[in-house]
Amino acid sequence: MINIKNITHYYGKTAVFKDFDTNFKAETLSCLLGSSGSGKTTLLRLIAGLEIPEKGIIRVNDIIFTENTNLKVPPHKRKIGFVFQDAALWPHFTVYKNVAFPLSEKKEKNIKTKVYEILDFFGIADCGNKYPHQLSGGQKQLAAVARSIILKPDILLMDEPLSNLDVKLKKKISEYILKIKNEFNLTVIYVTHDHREAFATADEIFVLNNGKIEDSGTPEQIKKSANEYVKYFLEY
Amino acid sequence: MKIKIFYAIIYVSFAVFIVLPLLYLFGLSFLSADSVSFDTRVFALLGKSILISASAAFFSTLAGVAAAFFIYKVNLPFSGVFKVILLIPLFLPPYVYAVLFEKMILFIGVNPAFMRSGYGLVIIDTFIFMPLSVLVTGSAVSGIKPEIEESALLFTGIKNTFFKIVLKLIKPSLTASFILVFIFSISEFSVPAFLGVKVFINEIFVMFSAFYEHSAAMLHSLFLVVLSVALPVADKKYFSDAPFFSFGIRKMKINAYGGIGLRLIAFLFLSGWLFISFLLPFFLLLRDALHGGIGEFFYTFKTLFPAFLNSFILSASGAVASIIAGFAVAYKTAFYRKKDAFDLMLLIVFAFPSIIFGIAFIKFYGNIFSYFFSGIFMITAAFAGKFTFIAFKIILNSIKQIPYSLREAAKLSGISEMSYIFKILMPQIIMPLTFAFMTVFILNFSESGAVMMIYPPGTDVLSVKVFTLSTNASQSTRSLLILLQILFTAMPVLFFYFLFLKIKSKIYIVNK
Ligand SMILES: Nc1ncnc2c1ncn2[C@@H]1O[C@H](COP(=O)(O)OP(=O)(O)O)[C@@H](O)[C@H]1O
Ligand SMILES: [Mg+2]
Repeated sequence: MINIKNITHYYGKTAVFKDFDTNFKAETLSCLLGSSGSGKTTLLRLIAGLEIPEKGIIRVNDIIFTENTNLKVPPHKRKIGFVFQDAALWPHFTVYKNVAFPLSEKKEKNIKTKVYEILDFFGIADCGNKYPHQLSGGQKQLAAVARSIILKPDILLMDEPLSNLDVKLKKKISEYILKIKNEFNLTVIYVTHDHREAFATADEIFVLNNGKIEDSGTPEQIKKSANEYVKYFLEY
Repeated sequence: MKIKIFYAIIYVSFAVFIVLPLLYLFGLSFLSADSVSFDTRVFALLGKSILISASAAFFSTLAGVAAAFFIYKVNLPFSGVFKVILLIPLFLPPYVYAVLFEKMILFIGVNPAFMRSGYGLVIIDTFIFMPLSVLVTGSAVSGIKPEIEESALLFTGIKNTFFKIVLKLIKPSLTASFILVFIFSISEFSVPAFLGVKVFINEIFVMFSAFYEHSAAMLHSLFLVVLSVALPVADKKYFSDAPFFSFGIRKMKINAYGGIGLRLIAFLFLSGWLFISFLLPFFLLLRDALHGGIGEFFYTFKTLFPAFLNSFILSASGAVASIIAGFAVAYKTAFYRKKDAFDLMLLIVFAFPSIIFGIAFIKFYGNIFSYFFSGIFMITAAFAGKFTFIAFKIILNSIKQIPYSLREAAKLSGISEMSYIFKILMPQIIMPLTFAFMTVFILNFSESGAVMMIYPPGTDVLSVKVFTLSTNASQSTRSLLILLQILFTAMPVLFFYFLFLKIKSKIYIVNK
């Protein structure tokens, strides 16, 4: 379980979160739904240890990851996979090396087999020797997802991974995501501003607005929410 | 069509006033080649110089990239202040910096004999040119998107992220930094002269000015020219790709680098470097310089002031020429994507050691046009030839950041190219243009190699006057002279800074 307690985080002088609390269940696909600027990316980055809050505690399975301004566990020891909105593949590495890098940093064996296994799984094995700038948007995103799960993380954080893709690819990738979630017992937090996408994939939905959770629950519960903002948000 | 005339004027003047004298010099030296004998001793000296400058280039790049990473990526208080003070040594004449630095070295008790050797020269050159490495590698470091480093941080520590991701990504700028420092260092003659270390460039200088062996000097200098030109040309792909001197506005700090360990290392490294490279030497200089009291200070100030005015005018006109030519070439490169020979020529000319500029100009203009061309013109032309490349690079980077669509939109709405340049493009790049102007101005202002050749020693150009006066001066007078050179450098910098702030605020109001 991911437990976020009392988090306050500023960019410059404006607070994105003030005494923010929430919990995400283990082995669940939670969707973080909200308009742009509501703080979705920031929340993922706080969980991953890429942002340092002014105050508050972030725990995963009762282990303190972040406490106030201290990263008690550095990002690379959190067993977290992160898919950035624009893939963020390393431009000087091929797809193969992008996916192999996490393994070689952990000094794992049989790297080649492992990498091609996962590239096959995502249907991009033939892109192994290509550089990121030679890939299509969808292939980049798939490679980024492959890289994020290659170490079999406990938690997978995905920041609008589908927002730049066409409908067909969106469907294909969200199927992949569900498949890996079940296969690896992953805890997934999936960020989107598109409520259709959220309803299609989520076990639980959190509606975020201006750094506050307006409502949360199963897709069915959210659809029937009495919250004014949630009602307004779902109209479009 | 007006724009074509504009380009023609710039290209032709550059070719006639700057390239032709250099060609003339080499024509002359080949004509008299058989009367010159080459000495193996001189080649041994060339080898030594290469070793010294390559070491300085290596260490300067090493320290520069570390500082750039700390300044641009790590969340530190006062990183803006660090950046500014760090640049100071670059903006002083190398000779001035050498005097400053030696004071500090003697103060902390290093053996003077050690400093007056090749090792000392490597150390001083490293400190002089390290800011250049910071500028070059810094613009590459700040160009890396944060997510690229952050996605590495999810898998590995900060150290490996730096070595395996950051350093690999900025490789072109590391090469560019190495080459630039190498070229500056190997053609710099005043520091080895001050230290009494024999290097190749000084041999040429002596041949030319002391023994009047002009042909020998010129032929020997050819080796230096070939070397200096070959490096960047051989590496042109990397060299021209390197985003050096970009005028970054984006904030690129990585919050995950905010751990106390890294921040402490960064802070200690930067403040330690500042202390050793400038603060302590400057303090020691002040102490020595004000020995003679305030009366001597004002007297020396008055003595140097006419030279300062001359230098100011010369440097400003050289900088204006460089900015116009640099902008023209940058505009063409950015928008027409036409690689013509001109930017290559800028690069080649830039790689010429400045005393060779001096020799070429005095020969060419002295022999052919002695009645028409004064020293002032020659110096301005030498400045423009030497530093237009730098202006070009800074301006090109800033133009590249302006969306291409702005120009297309202007075209579609029937705005002429000239109006686009002056009313739409210029206002947006006014700050980088300012920066380019200031940089070139300061480089001109502290240039002494070409100037010393063109003007006989003892005449009134500040960098040369300070150099010659302080050669025979007492310790405290020399310190005073150096202090005044620093003050005189700071004055125009501050002046232009406030002038352009004013211009900027005006343009901002017009745009509103
Ligand atoms: N690096 C930053 N510097 C300053 N403000 C930021 C930065 N990143 C995000 N913000 C601000 O924080 C708020 C939340 O941003 P973000 O978490 O990216 O929202 P979302 O992902 O929901 O669109 C926004 O108002 C945004 O402008
Ligand atoms: Mg976002």
